[in-house]
Amino acid sequence: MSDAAPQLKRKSEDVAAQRKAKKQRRSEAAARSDDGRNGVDTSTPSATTTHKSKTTPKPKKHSKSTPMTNGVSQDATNDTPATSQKTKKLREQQNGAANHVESEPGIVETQTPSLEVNGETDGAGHHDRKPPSTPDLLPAAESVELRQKQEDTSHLSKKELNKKKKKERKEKNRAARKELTMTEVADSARKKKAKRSEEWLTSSSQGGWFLSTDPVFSPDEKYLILANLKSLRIYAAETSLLANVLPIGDTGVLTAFALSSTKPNQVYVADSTGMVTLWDWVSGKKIGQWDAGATIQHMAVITRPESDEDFVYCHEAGDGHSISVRAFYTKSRGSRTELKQLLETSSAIHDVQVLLQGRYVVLASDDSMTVGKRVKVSKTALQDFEYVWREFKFSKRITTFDAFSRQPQGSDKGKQVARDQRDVIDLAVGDEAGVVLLFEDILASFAAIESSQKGKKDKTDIAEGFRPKRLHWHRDAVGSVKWSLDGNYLISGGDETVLTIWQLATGQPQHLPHLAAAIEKIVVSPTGSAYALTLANNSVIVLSTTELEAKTNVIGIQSRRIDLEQMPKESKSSNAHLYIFDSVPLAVNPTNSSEVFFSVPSSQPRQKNEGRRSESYLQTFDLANQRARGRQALTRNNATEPNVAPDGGRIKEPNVTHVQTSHDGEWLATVDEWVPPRADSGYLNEGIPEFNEQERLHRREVHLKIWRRDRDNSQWKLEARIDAPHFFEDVCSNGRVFDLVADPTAAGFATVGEDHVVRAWRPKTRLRDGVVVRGAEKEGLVTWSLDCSVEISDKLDVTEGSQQLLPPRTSRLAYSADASVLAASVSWDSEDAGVTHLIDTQTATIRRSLTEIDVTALSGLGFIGQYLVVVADAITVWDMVSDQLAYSIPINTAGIGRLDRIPLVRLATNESGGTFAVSLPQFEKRDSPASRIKKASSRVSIYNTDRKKPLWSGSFPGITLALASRKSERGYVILDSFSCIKTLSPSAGRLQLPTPPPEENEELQRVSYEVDEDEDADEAAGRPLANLLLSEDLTQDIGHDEHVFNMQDLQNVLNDGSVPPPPQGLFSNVLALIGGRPHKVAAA
Amino acid sequence: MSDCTSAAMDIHRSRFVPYPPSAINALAFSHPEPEHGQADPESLRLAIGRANGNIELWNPARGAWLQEKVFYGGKDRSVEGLAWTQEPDRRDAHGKIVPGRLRLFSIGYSSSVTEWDLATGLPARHSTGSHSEVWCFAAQPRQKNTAKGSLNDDNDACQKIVAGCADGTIVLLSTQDNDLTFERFVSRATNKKARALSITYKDPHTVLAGFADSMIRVFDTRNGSVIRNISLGNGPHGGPKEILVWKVKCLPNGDFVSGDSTGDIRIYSGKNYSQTQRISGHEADVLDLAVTRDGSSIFSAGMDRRTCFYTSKKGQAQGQSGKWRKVSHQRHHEHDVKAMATYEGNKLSVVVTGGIDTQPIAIPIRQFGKELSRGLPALPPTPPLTSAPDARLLVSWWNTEVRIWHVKPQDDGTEKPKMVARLALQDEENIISVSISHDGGLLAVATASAVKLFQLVRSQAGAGSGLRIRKLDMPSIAGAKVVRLAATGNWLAAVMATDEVQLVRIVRTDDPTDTPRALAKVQPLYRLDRDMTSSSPLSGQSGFYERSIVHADFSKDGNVFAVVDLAGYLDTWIIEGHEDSTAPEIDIDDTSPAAGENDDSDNEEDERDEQIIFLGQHWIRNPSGHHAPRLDSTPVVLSFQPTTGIDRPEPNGNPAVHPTRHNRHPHSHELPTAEYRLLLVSAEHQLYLFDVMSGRLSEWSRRNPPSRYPREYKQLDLPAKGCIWDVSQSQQRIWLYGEKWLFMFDLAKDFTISDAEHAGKKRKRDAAKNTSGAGEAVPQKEVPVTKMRKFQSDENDKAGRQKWIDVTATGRPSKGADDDDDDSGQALASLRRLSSKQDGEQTKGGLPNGESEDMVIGGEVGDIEQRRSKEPWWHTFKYRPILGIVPISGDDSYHAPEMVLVERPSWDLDLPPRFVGTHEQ
Repeated sequence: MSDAAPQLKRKSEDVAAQRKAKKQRRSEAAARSDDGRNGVDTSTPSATTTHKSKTTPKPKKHSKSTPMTNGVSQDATNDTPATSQKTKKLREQQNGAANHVESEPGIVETQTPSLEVNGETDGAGHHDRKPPSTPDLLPAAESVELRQKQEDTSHLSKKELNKKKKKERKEKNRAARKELTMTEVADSARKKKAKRSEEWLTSSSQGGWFLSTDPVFSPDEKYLILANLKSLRIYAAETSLLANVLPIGDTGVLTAFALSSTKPNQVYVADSTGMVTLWDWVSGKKIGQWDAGATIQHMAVITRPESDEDFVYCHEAGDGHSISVRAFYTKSRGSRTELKQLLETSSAIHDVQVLLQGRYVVLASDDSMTVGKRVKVSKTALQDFEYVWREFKFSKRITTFDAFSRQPQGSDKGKQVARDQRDVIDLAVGDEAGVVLLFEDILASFAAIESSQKGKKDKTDIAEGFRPKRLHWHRDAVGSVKWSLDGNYLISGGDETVLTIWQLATGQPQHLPHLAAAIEKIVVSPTGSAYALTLANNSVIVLSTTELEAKTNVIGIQSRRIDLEQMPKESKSSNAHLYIFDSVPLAVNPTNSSEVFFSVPSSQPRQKNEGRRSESYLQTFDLANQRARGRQALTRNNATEPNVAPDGGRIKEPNVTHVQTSHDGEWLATVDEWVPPRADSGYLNEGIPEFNEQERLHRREVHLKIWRRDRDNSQWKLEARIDAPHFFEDVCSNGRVFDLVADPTAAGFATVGEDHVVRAWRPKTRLRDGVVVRGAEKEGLVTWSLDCSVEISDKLDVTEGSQQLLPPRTSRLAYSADASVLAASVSWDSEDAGVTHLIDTQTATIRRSLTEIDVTALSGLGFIGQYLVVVADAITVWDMVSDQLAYSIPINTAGIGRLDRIPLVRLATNESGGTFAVSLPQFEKRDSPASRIKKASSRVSIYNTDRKKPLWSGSFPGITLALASRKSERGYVILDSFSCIKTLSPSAGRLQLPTPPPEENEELQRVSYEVDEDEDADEAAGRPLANLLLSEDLTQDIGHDEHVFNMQDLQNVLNDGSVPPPPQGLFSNVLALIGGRPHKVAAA
Repeated sequence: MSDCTSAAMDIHRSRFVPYPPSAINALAFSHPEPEHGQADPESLRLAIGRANGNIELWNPARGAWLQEKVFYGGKDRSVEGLAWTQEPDRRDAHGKIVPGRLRLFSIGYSSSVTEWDLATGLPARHSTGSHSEVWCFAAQPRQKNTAKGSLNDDNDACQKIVAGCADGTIVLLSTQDNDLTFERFVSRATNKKARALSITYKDPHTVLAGFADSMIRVFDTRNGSVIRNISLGNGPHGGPKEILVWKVKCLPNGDFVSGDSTGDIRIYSGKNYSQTQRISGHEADVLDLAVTRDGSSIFSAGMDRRTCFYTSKKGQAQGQSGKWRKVSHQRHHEHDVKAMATYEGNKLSVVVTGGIDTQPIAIPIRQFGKELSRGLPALPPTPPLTSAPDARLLVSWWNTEVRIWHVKPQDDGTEKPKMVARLALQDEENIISVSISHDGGLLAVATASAVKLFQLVRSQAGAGSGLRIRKLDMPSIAGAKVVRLAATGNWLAAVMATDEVQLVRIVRTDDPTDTPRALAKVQPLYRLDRDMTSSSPLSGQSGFYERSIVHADFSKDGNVFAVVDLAGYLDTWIIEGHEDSTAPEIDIDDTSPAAGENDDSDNEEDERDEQIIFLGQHWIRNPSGHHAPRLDSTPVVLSFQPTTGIDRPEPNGNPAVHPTRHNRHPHSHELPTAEYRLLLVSAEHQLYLFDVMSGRLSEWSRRNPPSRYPREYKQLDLPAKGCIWDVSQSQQRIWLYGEKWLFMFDLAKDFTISDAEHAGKKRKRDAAKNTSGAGEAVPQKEVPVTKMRKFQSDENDKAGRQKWIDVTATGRPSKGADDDDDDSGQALASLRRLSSKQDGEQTKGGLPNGESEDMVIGGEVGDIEQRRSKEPWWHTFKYRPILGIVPISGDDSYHAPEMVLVERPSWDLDLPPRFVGTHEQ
């Protein structure tokens, strides 16, 4: 609960300001923790920490290794104080979640009472310094805190002996140490593990899909307000940069927001817990919060007549749906609300629009529109809001609507008065068939029908009642329709990716085709100068109305989004639906680990439930700046082609199945697949379904594409396309590519395919007559070609089995760090245990075939130093040097079978950290048969090679769709099914500097592992590392103090309590931060 | 080709007859609105002009859309435009207003305007003038109020006709004095020689003409002055520079609208002739426009097959006052839409569109959006098919061509019918009627100018299957609209355009080498004069429109001849005596009227005295013919039931008939003794089974009034086209078909009476009848808005929430009168059944009820078997659209009939390439 307040300050990124604010922050933090415990944050922190510059983080020097604070990874690459300060705030926000996660799995600290953990959560980095400031902590937690304090002070004394400054660095580990001490007290046997578990920190998640609500322009059109599930995000329209983030609590998700009608810098935000918060979105301050008691799905704000108060029309969805009008009174009148219920209905309301300051309310449900007209308009009290509702049913499903209040046009003064008696409401309704129905002057139509019912009028006039104009251009359901401000145009869009502007006077539609994805929402800006379009690829573009040129483009993470609600029903026969959880190919730029590449589909409309779309684009996302860098097509696509076949079916694009970057980040290899759709293979039909399917699959198209980085355009240029990298000669069909790995030492990739062959692809400098062929930039042109291939027989002993090839179920590849060994695991479709081959890359021969490891359910394969990690039914770590099992841990996935989970289990190895991460899916199913999945989550564990127990383990909502190691760092990147990216990083990793080459570090680690292998792993791992880090510290002191210390920890030390500590205490704290680690090690 | 085999009924389902489509080029309603604002005029007709030169007159009354008459054109004659005028109303002796006579004019690719005689269907007169081809023409609006008509001089009383020509000339024609004469040039040819594409009257003295040079010119017809030139500007980018103004139409308030080759419609102010709005609704040329009477709606149609609908709200104080908006468009046609016509009456309120796909479509105006459009029959109402069952020959004809196929029996394998002869007439006139004798030896062909007789000679065995055609001499008959050969080939009847009936005796021998010859003397037959006091505006000088003979046929043995006219009057003639080869071929008795003639003939002044006796046979009017009742509605089918098994030994010649002094021209007065039953089907689907010799309705007809008919039959909207008899000793089945349906009735059985069913059905039918003349009500799921309700915010208004108002209800009260009629008929029928129960029992008892094992049509109707065994009827909608069904096997009647069913599906039409829209590429 305490997280909202710190968020307010997130904007402040100015270094100087940050420094200035340190003291204040300390006091604030104390206040925060109090607030947090009190549950509702009523206090508004002083704005002193809110600094003038709202600049978003500008791209900084790309340092490979950047300090990492606990819990914050998104700023990992930003080594400027500004960001790290920001990071700190974020962390505070995140702590709750992160620690919560930690408390969940039983592996970690089971004996630690959850209360304790919660206490920590609240305190984060503060309580250990200021235990008295947390009076309402439960006694257990308190005692822990006290102990921690004692520990810390003892550390402090030792630290004094140690060398100096680098307080930041110390601070970074403080939390870990605290945990360590706790565990030491509690259970000495577990202390190391506990320490480890604390070391791994989860960043807040980036990305996520924008809510399916209309984007909101600020009245001056300088800002665009968008919402995702967790926060309200304010973007500057001019730069498309994030200007402000208004987070909501971690308990609920954001459901609706609306700008205040009276004060344009205020915004009402409703969340699923029923809270309504009024924010000043300019300053980022929270003005008030109310409990609405229900989940508000839509909000519309009007000005109370003859006053400057807001009345908020709320659509609340519970068992039924209701519309109410509320007044939220701010401080001057007490934080209370007043409510007037207007309508209750059982049919689901999809959208609400309020016209003419509440004189008319228009509601849309699935198949009906309801228009409410206010009676007793002259009265202004809330309780006097009464409506007469007129509902009319449609035969087709309504997808969108927009009502427009037409102003009287006539200039005739005399008639003016009379005209004012009657409002003219025009209504445009888009239906599922793609028709926009235009009801002009709908109130007159009501009147005509009602009077004819009373028999006043001639029957023939009924015909005039509802005779809507039909604007039919869209093939598919209309995504959104809006009136232009003058009422002369209608703007509509839908799945066709075409913005259509209907000039009503001429009936002429004007089209803006080839938008990147289906149009989901259209908004006309307050002055009518721009249209904001929400596209189905998680982006919002703002087009000028005059030239239809894009002015603003806000892009989120566009990767596959999985709505469990929309999942197809489980069929009894198979778990075919799980294929939607297949991994998303993701690669991290080795030279800049904050840059990740992953494949994305062109469009993911929310309305449609058509399963998984082909992912044929590559999105580059910058984790440091939280921005999408670019998007490019990897395969043929339908961006500028018709995307619908004559039969109405969607034309499928090829699907990218693998993406890898070369070790130097110069090359990108992708594999895409395309299989003709079933509908088009009817001509193959010979009556036997199996044959048909086989014939269809024989027509699969597989391409391996090699791309070269184009630095000028920050894109990838296609360098080579290898058709059918794995080709079945005998049946003339393209085999699938099961895995693609990059050579860790040189340009080169290896693939393994359905055809039982491992192939290595390498570039060759192109020579003509012995002279290197050079391209336009004088660069030597290269040709990618097959370097070597190794055939994998299905049986170890050829003589024992038949010559017939078994179809492999799957296969995985892994290069050792020096690229001398290529491991290839093959899992056969039979119940055979499978085999892992170790291929000597020099000679291209199989040197050893491991059959000891059962790889039937093979999910991942990786090398860490001399260890081979195989994830199948168990996580198996095999020591290659001694050729024996290091350890093996069975894995457990709830709610999913052993073979079904194969494509859902992810493995990533990180050589530099000597760790590997495994993500396991967990499903919770509904009880009913033919059920859907109720809840899906992933459990991510990080292991190293010498201990069975995970270093860290955490559970995340959503299925991990991609897991990759951040190449030059020790952390991992997780892309989940909400299209959010998180990073996992060890706190130790933060000590790395941009300057020293990571290889050293790795080597040292490796050495240490080898030496200490059989000893107590924790001890061994800890000590050399600590030494190393310490030595690094010395070097850092000289020139890099600004950049290398951990700002957050330092800040925590400096201002973690409400009361400024005495100078002596402060000094000792700082010292403790610096000297903590050596001291601890020594103590151990 | 032949997909049905069965012991009971062989249907050769075939599509080999290449009946060529003929595009609709022009449509015109005889009246723009109800007469005197009251009921829809009786004389309301729709004229459809086709590309083959035919003009069809359709009667839309009661939504029946019956094609009553066809004025046949000829080769290379096309109807490009149609216009009706109506003479000024007169007051008759009783001071009642008599509507003026209707006149129909057409233009083709010539410089003349043609007026048609509505009664005879022949061109009445042509206009002359030294101008180029007429491209468009329009009739002056009729003077609205007859009261003021007296003030106007006669010159204005008659509607004038203004015509636009290919060189840009505008010509004014006068229709005064029942004539059509050139009056003056309104405008001489322009320099550019731009074609005048469209022309219309804005008011009685102002015409608007759309030209091919992007101009609309406004003329004053009185002095030929140009009031205004309105330019439409340049054509769109990339297209031709000039815009073709395909159509101009006036709105009632004086504003006018144009449709052009850019696909836009433009609306102009009638006051200052300036363009007020331009709406783009089409992807290609707008070819025709229609406006509604109140001026609040516009329809446009064009090359992109769309029919667009625009409205403007009139008198709306605010908002879009007067602004036109396109409401919707729909694609009713499969090819270019070339013509539209509107009629808005109290009940009938439709716009009819037609084009190259040959099918007229009726679209509701007032009920637009609430009723569906309706496709009217695209194929001729009388099948252009006939057959010679004994020779297994099928004859079809169109335009100036006749084709004859030989249809092999089903068990001959799947061989296609082979075309054995082809006949193309050299004269230009289109063929109107063709008849062939049952043995396939004689073929009669009628055009508007001549009746021709041909002998079909089978080639020598082995010399191929072709037929040789030999023309035979005929007494000169100046054209006919129906020609019928008796089954035996002995008699040929021709119904002239003037509705006179001419009979020709053809002498044939059994010797195949002997050439048949037609006797030179023609026997005219005269119909009874019916009471036609109330002359309709359609009738001209040459006769009553209603008395036009529409159907004629011989009985199977050739002894009875029957004709029926539009009004529903039946006339029958029978032959006296027996054929006597020894008697003189022609024996004219001009002395005395036949003693046996009935009294009715006395008052016929036209009756000539001469009696012509052919080989001892003589035609007389059926003595009991006047008993036959008039039909309730227009007859659509006339057919004699084949006489079964009553083979009385024919005496050789006429015994005891010898010439004597007193009787120099002796002939037998013996009448045929067989039972001749004649089936007539009316447009209202009523079956009339007449007993010809007694002049009465048969017992079956009396026992089974229309109210007893099966519901499925009563609900049919398309009239019958023909019938096939399947009569044996065991059964009397009739197969009746329309364009989209095929019904079987067993005339030996009565329909079952189910009162509950009866009541339910009838209401339904009433509802269907109450539509505006277009299709049925739009199904609920197609209507955008189905119902609405109103309620208050407060909780206690639960009642209001329940009250849904159906916004689609047409809300017409059903009429009680019909119910009464039906009820009385019902009662009467029940009585009759009761009284004749014993007879019925006997009849039924005598008939073996063998339905369970026969009547399987190719196994496709197995599911109907059950119901069939209970009901004396059966139906299918499987075959559509049916061009015609003809019997093909001349086997004895004990054998199941074999027939050829010819379909002409619309996708099978041979149409020119059509416009392809952008979204269709």
